[in-house]
Amino acid sequence: MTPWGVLRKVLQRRLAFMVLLLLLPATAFAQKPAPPSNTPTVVIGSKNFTESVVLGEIARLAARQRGVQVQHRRSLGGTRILWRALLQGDIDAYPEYTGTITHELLHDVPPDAGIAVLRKRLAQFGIGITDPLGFNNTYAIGMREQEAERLHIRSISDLAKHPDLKLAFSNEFMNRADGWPGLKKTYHLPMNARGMDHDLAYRALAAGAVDAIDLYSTDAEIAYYHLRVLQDNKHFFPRYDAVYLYRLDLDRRAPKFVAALNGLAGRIDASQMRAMNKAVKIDGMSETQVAANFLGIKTAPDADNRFWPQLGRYTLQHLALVGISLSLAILIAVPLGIFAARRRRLGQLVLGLTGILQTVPSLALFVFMIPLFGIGAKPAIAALFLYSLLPIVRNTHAGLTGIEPSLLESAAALGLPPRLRLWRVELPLALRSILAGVKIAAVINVGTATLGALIGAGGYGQPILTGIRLDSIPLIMEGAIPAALLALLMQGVFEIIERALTPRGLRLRAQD
Amino acid sequence: MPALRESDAAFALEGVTRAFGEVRAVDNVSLTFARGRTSILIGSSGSGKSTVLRLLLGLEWPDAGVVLCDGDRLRRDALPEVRRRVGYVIQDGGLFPHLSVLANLALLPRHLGWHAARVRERASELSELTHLHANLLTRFPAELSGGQRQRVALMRALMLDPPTLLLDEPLGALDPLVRHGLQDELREIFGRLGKTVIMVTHDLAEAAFFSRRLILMRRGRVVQDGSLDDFRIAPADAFVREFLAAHRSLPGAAT
Repeated sequence: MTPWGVLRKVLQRRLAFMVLLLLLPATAFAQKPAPPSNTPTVVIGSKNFTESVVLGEIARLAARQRGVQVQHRRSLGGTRILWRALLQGDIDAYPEYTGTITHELLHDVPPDAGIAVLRKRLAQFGIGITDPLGFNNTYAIGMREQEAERLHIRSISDLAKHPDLKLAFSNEFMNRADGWPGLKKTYHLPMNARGMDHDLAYRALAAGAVDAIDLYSTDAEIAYYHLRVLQDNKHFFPRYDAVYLYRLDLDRRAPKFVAALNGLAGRIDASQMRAMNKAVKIDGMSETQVAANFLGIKTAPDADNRFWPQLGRYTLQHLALVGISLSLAILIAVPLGIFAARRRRLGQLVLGLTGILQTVPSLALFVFMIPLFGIGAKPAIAALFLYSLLPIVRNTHAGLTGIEPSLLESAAALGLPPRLRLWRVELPLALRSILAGVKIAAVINVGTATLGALIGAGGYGQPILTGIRLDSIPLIMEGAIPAALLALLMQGVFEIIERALTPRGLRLRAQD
Repeated sequence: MPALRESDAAFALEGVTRAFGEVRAVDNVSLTFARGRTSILIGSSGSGKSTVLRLLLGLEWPDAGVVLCDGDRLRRDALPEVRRRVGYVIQDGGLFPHLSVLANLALLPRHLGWHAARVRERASELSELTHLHANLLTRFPAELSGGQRQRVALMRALMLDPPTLLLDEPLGALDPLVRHGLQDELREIFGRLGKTVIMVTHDLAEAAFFSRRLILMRRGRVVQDGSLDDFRIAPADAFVREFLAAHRSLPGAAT
């Protein structure tokens, strides 16, 4: 017998063993914890856009100046993810905006509540808030600097004197009550506006096709296109003052870190923030470098950020996410599939429930896992595990129920006990279908795992996320191409496994 | 047919009914199968003859009546044990396609603790009995002809040397020449082994070739129980005559 033959014999005898062997490489990678860390005591998070990441880096470096080691989990996702992570203690601090706090986090405070009110209310959650950092990142109206100067326009009120100016606003701004309709009424603006894609609007403005557009007051493009941000002299737009939120237990655990955060209050004005956003988004500097320049300190270029080591790290993280979640899914889904095939009625329930899991939008499922598992690799693995169940359960069920009844009956009529029938007859005959299910789950998993970066799980999603944030196609490709290759590789590996494990007798039948 | 003493009966059905939905596949049937004899269940498809075999193996369970095995009522917990004393062969052999011939034969004996050497020895013994070339033992079912597959199925049924053989249309899927040859061999094997054989067929000529005891079934009931001569001389009803006539008209049916 050939070595392959021997191996096949051994493997066929114990399907579970095979499954473990198959996933051993993946779990070996998993031994390595996802974020490399020297156990810092404080963790700061940031949202999934440049300004937030820069503010996170500034806080990290400012704390380091005071001798506090801080880990920065960058671009974790949106407001809800950061807020929950902060409440649960997965992170200790993150940059936020007062407008977001009043609109999205606390629903029982007036929209124009001052810092003192917010501080009191947040304290009930065990959360502290610094004084404003010095800039207000809200909706604003921008014009070409030269044009504004020529027409002597400084504030939005001044616009009313020039009814022939052409305005173009993003579609969201056009429709929101607190957007164009309210603005037109408050400032008695006589002209009409048209909707336009936000990125196009910047170019249209620069080219002179339109004269004023809506923007965020710290957009990098403001500096790049030399735009003037008009004063909101009637205070129409809500304030989005940047602040840091932090856990109040830091006052005891790391008072120096809290001091560092408070030390940043009032130090960053809008033009500085704009320049830093531009340095990252348009000039391609790293957030760390920009933050260091701001603080006037030097940082050694991070050796870990070189292309290949970084790609290797992403790959290991990604493999760990996929490998662990898939192994767990196989261990649970195959028995579930067997159960579903045995008990037809209850089986339909099992199939239905796993089917419903599949309909939960993937981002939502990742977010749902945060209260249970915090942030990082664990919730991502849990979400991927749930996603992997359906294809494996369904294919196990289909494989077992698709076996010719005469074969099942022959096995029973021989007097084989049920366990032996399952292991020696039913599972081998269903093996192809089961492996096909595992293959589907694996390939889907590789793609879905890129979302893990949103909740701090790392992997190929990290460069994709950064690339989207920085509008950098090459950076997106750094994540997307390896992810696609990994999916193809998975497919290939499983096809080889399938070929190796399919008993010769079944391959012969397939040729008939 | 002389009346049988209870102890001579390998199997018996007493007033057994088995219905599938509205249809009574077996309807109040009482039958006794003598030890060491060959009995043939015959009838057209849907007559209930296969269901009788399946009831004897506990693959079906009676809605009413009793199945007796060696004088004892068939019990669910004793099924694996009863089944190991019965060899069962079906039309397409029911061989496991993922296992080689030898592995098909070895499945149950190995589970019962036989050594590999003993399995091989028994397999080569049976390959002589069934005229299966020994070098086919390493092949897979898909590499065998229909006739070879049925020989393997018979070997698998005989591995533990059970006292009883149940055969459900064992030659039904074979072409006429192969079928004819195997009929000869099977009859010789039955004769040599002296086992209780219950065989299902829809072919009257084949039935008469194997046994003097034919049980003709129709719509779940036994129409007549006797020899072919009994059927000819004293048909129980018009259906028996019809059944005989249908077979006489088949070209090449006479052996």
